Amino acid sequence: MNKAWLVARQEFRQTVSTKAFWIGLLSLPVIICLAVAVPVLLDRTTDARRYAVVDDSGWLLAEIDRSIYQDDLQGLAEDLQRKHRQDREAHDRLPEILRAFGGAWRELDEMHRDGMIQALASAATVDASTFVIARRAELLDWWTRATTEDLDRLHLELSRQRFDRVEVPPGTDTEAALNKAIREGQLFAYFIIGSDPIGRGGGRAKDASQHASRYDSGRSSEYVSNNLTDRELRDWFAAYADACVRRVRLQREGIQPQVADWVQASVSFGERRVDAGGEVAEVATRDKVRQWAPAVFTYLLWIAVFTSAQMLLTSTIEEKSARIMEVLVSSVSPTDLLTGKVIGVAGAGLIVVGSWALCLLVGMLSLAHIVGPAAQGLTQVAADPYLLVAFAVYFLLGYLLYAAYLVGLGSLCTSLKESQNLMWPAMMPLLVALMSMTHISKDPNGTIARVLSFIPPLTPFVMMNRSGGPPPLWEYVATTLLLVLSIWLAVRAAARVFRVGILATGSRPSAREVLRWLLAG
Amino acid sequence: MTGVTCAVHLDGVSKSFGDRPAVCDLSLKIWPGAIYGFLGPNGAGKTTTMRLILGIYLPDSGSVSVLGHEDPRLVRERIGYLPEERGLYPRMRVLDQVAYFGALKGLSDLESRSRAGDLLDKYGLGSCSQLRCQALSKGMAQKVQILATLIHEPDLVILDEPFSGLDPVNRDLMRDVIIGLRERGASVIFSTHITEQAEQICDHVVLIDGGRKLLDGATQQVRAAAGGAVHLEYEGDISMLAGLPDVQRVNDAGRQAEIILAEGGDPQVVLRSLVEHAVTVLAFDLRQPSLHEVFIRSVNRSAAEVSLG
Repeated sequence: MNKAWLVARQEFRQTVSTKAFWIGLLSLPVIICLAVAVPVLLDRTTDARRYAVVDDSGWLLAEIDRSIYQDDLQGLAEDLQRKHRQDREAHDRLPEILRAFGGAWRELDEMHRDGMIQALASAATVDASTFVIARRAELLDWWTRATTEDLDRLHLELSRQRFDRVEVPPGTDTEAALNKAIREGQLFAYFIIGSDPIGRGGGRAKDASQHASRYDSGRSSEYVSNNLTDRELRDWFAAYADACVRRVRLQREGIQPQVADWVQASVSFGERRVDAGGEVAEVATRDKVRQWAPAVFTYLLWIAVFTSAQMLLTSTIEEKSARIMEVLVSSVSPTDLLTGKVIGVAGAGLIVVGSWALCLLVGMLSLAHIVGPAAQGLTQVAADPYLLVAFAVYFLLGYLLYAAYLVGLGSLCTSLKESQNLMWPAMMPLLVALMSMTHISKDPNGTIARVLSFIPPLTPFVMMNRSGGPPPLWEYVATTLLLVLSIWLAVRAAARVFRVGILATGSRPSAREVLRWLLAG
Repeated sequence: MTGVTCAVHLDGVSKSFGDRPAVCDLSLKIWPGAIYGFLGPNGAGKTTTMRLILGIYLPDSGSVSVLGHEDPRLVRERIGYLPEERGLYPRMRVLDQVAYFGALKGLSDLESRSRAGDLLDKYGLGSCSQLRCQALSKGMAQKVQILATLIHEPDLVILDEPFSGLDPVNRDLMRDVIIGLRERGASVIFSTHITEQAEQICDHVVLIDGGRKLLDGATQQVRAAAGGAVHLEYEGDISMLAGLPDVQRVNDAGRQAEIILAEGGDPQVVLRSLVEHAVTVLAFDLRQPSLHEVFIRSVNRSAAEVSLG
């Protein structure tokens, strides 16, 4: 056993000194950082999309502008409140009109706040507060004049930082001028609002052609850009246009907006779950996360088992091709050699997995500040000792089973290329495990999940994935026993093949020869 | 030799791989403090015999006793083995490599590192001790392999084709190492098919072919038993010698030849014949047949027996 320990230590050092190990170790943290940082950076560096609107209807653009203004005010009011609470210094640097707006909004209760915003955005004077009447024009003037530079300086956010509307150039042939602006990159896109957007075709191109004769005498609405893959601006503006047009249609038909909302309201099914005591309980974020956390762990398990077993295969073949095996077996028994190699690589594998888990945990803890309760639930589940222990146990068992196969395989091959052809018996169950992952997360105690649990090469992945269920205790015991039994058989078989295979050189032994080694003992 | 235990004792050992016998009924005794050469053509069973002595293979029948133990695996730590196919971990540092093999042979970490350092210094590799093995030249790597085999000062050293692939400098080093081991009292077994080397340094030769032992004895005795021979250096044509009744065989190398005399053959007859045929004789030396001749003769005899039998 002492020798096995020496081999394990050497194997561990060898593995840790490879580039592949460090790439494996750093890949996940790097991927996570990139996945978080790249979209944020891209978002920050993306310039505001400049667009123009040609409004043939004569009224819709003003309505849309009013809606945008209203939404901006809503966001602004919340931002002002946050600044007022958390960063008084930044708050005090803001223009006086904004501070006054924020102050007036804060004084109101929830319901009146919406009323105030609506009143500010419209010309209505009924029920309007003093602030609205006195300073409506001044606030609108600030909003109209504020440039993106001003906003960045004041750390404020308005929609124009993403989508900035520019005025249509004066002159007779506006569209030609706009087309030129798009070609020269000064403009991202422009919209044409048809003359009768309220008509049944909504002024849209497709419907307009069908109903033009009856409802829409004017031209259709259009979106013109030379970048048709980025639909963000189009969708954003269309949503405002839709909302405005619908509002007008409801008015025309004499339907109260509240009635329309009520007609469209869907039946809501609140989610409840049956807890361990058989009682119906509220569904917390934590429960939702718990249902899906095993899938994440299963992915991690899959990658960990796959990479570790692969490391072992590579090291066995390297030793064989570097002609070191014979010196080793003159000093160490093949069983000690096999044991040492498997333990050494498992150690390196555990370090990789451990670092990933740590990285995920740190990531989630730091996210908890930003995302709030959802991430907290996630952290609680991720730090759940039950899941962590299950993960460690299934990693070791799964790794041992695949390691036994791959180390036996490694001892038969003289090059990595040769081994690729014989990888499929290991790859098949791994692929099945991967493909069944989503289904099992959804139905952890279904027939398929239960049947797959009893196939030893799939057991670690399937059972890990089912822990959200969770399966009955007897299934845990039975599948684990079956798995341990198959590991025992696999390791014995691997040891037999290994003992003869490591010294075999030249052509790869035939299947019949390998079978004879297995049976010979 | 009563009272002295054999370093290795094989008794009626056989080993087959599938239907192919590799070693048949081989019996052999190897005494301490002597150098044994295993001679034989490729595929004769030399490596299998060595692996049986090392306990890498277990015999199908017969018994193997090494350094007084029935199971060679129990004395692994007292054996040094340099296989024919030898390599080093490419990314490992030289010192770590030698020390690792020492540790596998039972030395403590501290001792194996200190011995490895000393050995590397002694053989002029001290400056390379922190290099990775992949950075070594072939000759240096060969030296490191030899040191890794001997770091634990084994009582029995088994070297499989130790001279193959060595440059002349390392060949001399290997020869000195083998002779040094004998002086230290260790038994050395090495296999080779280069008979000149065996002739130079072996106390004892064992000739193996087809998995069977053909010959086993002290080098001098084996050569003496093979009869008389003439070492000839010449210019001219000596093809007529083959027809002389006094000559059994001629190993002609162009300008040198070994003339094996028939039993009772007279070297004077040979000399006379050379003079009569106007061959310029530069040297004419009466000697025992070379190990090469003994080797060829034995292998041919064995082949003839097989074809007759």
